[in-house]
Amino acid sequence: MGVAFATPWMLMGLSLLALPVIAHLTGYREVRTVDFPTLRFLRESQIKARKRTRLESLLLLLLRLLMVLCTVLVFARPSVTWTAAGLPGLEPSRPSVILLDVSASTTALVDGEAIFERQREAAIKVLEGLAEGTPAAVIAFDDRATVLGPGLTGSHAPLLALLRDLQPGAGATDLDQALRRGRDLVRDNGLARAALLVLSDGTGVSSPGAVGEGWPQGLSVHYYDLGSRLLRNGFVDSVKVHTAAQQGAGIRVEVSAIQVGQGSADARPLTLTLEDGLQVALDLRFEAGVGTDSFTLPMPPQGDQMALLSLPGDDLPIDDDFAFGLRGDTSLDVLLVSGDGGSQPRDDEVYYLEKALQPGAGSPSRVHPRVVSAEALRRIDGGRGDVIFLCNVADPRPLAEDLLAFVEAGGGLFISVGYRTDPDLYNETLSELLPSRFTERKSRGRGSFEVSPVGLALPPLERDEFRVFRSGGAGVFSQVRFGHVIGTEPALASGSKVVLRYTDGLPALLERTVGKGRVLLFTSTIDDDWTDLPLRSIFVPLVHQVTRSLSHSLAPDSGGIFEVGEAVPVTVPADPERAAWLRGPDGSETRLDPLAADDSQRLWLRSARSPGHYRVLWADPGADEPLLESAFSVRVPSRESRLTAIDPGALQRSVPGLVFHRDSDASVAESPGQVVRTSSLLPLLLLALLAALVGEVALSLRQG
Amino acid sequence: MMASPLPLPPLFLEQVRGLVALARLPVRGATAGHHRSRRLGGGSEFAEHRPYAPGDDPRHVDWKALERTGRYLVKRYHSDRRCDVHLIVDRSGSMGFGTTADLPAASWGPWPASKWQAAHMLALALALIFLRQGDRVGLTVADGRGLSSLPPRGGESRFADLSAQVLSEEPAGSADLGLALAAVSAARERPLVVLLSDLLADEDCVQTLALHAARGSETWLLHLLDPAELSFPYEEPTRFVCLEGGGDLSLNPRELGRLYRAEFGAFVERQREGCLDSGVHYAQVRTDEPLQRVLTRFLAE
Repeated sequence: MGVAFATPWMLMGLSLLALPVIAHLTGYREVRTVDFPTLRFLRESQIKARKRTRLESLLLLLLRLLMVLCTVLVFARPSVTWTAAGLPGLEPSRPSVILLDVSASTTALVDGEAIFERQREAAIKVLEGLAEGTPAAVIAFDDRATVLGPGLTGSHAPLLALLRDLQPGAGATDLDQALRRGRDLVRDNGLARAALLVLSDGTGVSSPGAVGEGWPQGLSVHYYDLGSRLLRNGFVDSVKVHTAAQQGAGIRVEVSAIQVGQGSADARPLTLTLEDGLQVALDLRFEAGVGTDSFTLPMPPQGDQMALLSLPGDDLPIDDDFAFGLRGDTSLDVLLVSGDGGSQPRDDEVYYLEKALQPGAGSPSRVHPRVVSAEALRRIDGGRGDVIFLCNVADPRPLAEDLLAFVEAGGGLFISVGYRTDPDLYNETLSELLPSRFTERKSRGRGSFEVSPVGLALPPLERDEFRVFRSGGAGVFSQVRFGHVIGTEPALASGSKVVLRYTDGLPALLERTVGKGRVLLFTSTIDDDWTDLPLRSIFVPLVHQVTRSLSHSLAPDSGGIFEVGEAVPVTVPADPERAAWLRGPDGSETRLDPLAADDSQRLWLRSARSPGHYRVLWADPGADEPLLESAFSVRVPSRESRLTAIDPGALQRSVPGLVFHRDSDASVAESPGQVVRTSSLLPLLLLALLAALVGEVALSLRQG
Repeated sequence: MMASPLPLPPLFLEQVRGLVALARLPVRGATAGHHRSRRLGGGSEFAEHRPYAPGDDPRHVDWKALERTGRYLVKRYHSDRRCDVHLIVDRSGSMGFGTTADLPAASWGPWPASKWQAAHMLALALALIFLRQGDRVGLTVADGRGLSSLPPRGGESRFADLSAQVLSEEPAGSADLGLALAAVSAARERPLVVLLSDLLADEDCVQTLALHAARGSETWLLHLLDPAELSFPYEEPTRFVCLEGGGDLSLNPRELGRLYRAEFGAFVERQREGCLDSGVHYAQVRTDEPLQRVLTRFLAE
């Protein structure tokens, strides 16, 4: 540590220090003599005041000396030079380019602080450690490399200000591109000798040779890994929306998630939230780092909706939300084929079923049941719905061929039995649809469900049909009573399985997959002839879930999920009178330029850099409201979410001579290194001068 | 700083001439006078009732009490007697200190230039008042030269004797007030003692005064103070010379003015409380206050 003076001859003014000393020594003098009655009290006061007075006088002298000293030193303009800790490898006088990683993975939290903050602190330390006037530049990079501010400059203050305002992004790490950009910047400024200092979290990939041949000799590269190898992250990797296009109203969202990092939890809460406020959750279980599960939405969405999957609770919050779009259908047609009309409405085979599917006017259900007879079903030209309920139809032969085609094409068929069901006729006619062959009718409790001991076994709650009973109602299944059922053979048809059984072991609900569709067979009546099921509280949710399970009403917004940095094709209006905007996740809108579109009227957007849902809006001339033309979603690149550690070997093969700094899991910023720093003492001196002046005035006033 | 004695200004004499000085305790004198005594007799102050006895003067029967009580009661009165008064005046060097000479002249005459001038003016005024009441007045003057005393005596010529005694010398040295008090206390008649002093020469004399009062003798103290002693109005570095021969002291008054005022204030307060606790009739006399006003208030308390 050393002190230097810009105008050392001004130090001659230090001789002025003698003035306060002389004034102090000669300042006390008698000016007059006074007769006084007694000196007793003066002497007592003097004894008490002597110690304090001497101290104050000495302090006053010191303050005056300090004032003179500071004044002289201010004119001499001193500066102090010392060595300070810095990043290893940093040369204070060498032109340096800082490559600062702002990719999504740098937002990972370590002890509650983002890794990016470590990188920012290290970058500031580098700039502060450089000698004054040494050219420096900062390049922020993820999948793009952006030179901050004026580029290479000897004035570090603007760079420090830009650094303090810099925020990390959501893109992927493209280190090769950043290295090329840094190299080009050095070369373009004609510097033969410089250093590239990469401040990163140690994740990403580097392809040997990607940087290019012939790395400049005078350009050294230091890579500082400031991240942590102990991070844990879980993220949604893919989503599949299962629907039968233009059929039904149900929707199933299959989610596949990935979890990386040691010590991750076996199960984590996964929440699906729709734009209309609907929210469902499940516990997603992971095995070998992969977790898959599916949601069956109780109500299909209306129109296009943003859906958000949330998997929170890890070290990288930026990818906790996964946005995607759903295109809703408006209605679901259900045909109820009644085989037993009866004389009164309540006697109709499908009376309870119809009431359950369409509880009343104003119901939020968008299921539209239509009751038809078997004959009428045949006469309906192309009017078959998404799901057909075949309820106690006596003779299914005229329907068999069409029903098979309907199911194979993706339709859902529900078959229930009754007095009019002829097992043999069914076995013969619907053999390609039935999950198992019927045997015979079996009675329980002398044929009356009121005295029958037979109920339903506990349903498989993991299936879509019964998932709603997880929160309650599962116990009601055992209370349902059955007087008659039709038995089935133990042997099941191909693609069949028993879904639900009676308490006596007989199958109650069987499933068979035929082509793209499914068949569910219920071995009792769907009305209250053989069972009190329609009178139970579980009936309404059960038939709704069965209906949705048999149908798939939504089509995915295919191709609508992109990664940050990926080019997104957006169609813009060909009509120059129309305008188009892009509305981002935060509600901000960007005008799209149709002139930049290709021959297919498509723009390739690269400006969607925030994860979330984007909408493309078109406006007709004179229209008050824009129209939603299309939508897409943007996600954090999955390679960022995977937190893949960079391979130092591959990096060094790409850039010869690269020095990789990593101190196990400790911060490299704390590693020892030394830089020489110089600082002016002028502010300190002025502060001391002011303090001495205030102290002198205060003491003088105190002494009168 | 010494100042020549000031003759009592005529206007001052005129204003104090009508004052009355009465002892607060019963006196023991045998001769009729203005002070209340323990004896009952022909005084003017009612003392008590007693049953009428044959031989009592019927003029002394309280007829109103007879109407109220139906009993014959005789009114009895304190007997008024003459008392001996002994003035002790401090003429030590510190009494020569004064800063009021430059004050503009008052209606009653010039201000006393020192505590000593104020003391002898008050002493002579009191002597005049007591002598006019028929009391006998003695005087002891104490200074560095010792004590000079005149025994109590009445009469028209006594005032001149006292004046001559008081004005015979200038303040000097340190007075032994305790010795003066002891000499007066030894007198058989136990006179009313009036001490006029700044108490700087002998701080312990208040204890002697208290002892005197404890014996049943009435004791008055007029504590003389100069305003400069209280406010200490000095600013520049000064050499202070002790008027009682205590040497000198050079110091910066700014540095310890606050401490001095606290010390001196505590001293004055100690003297005052000592007097009040022991029954000594005490009054502070600032030399920048009209003396006749001080005297009037003191005698009226």
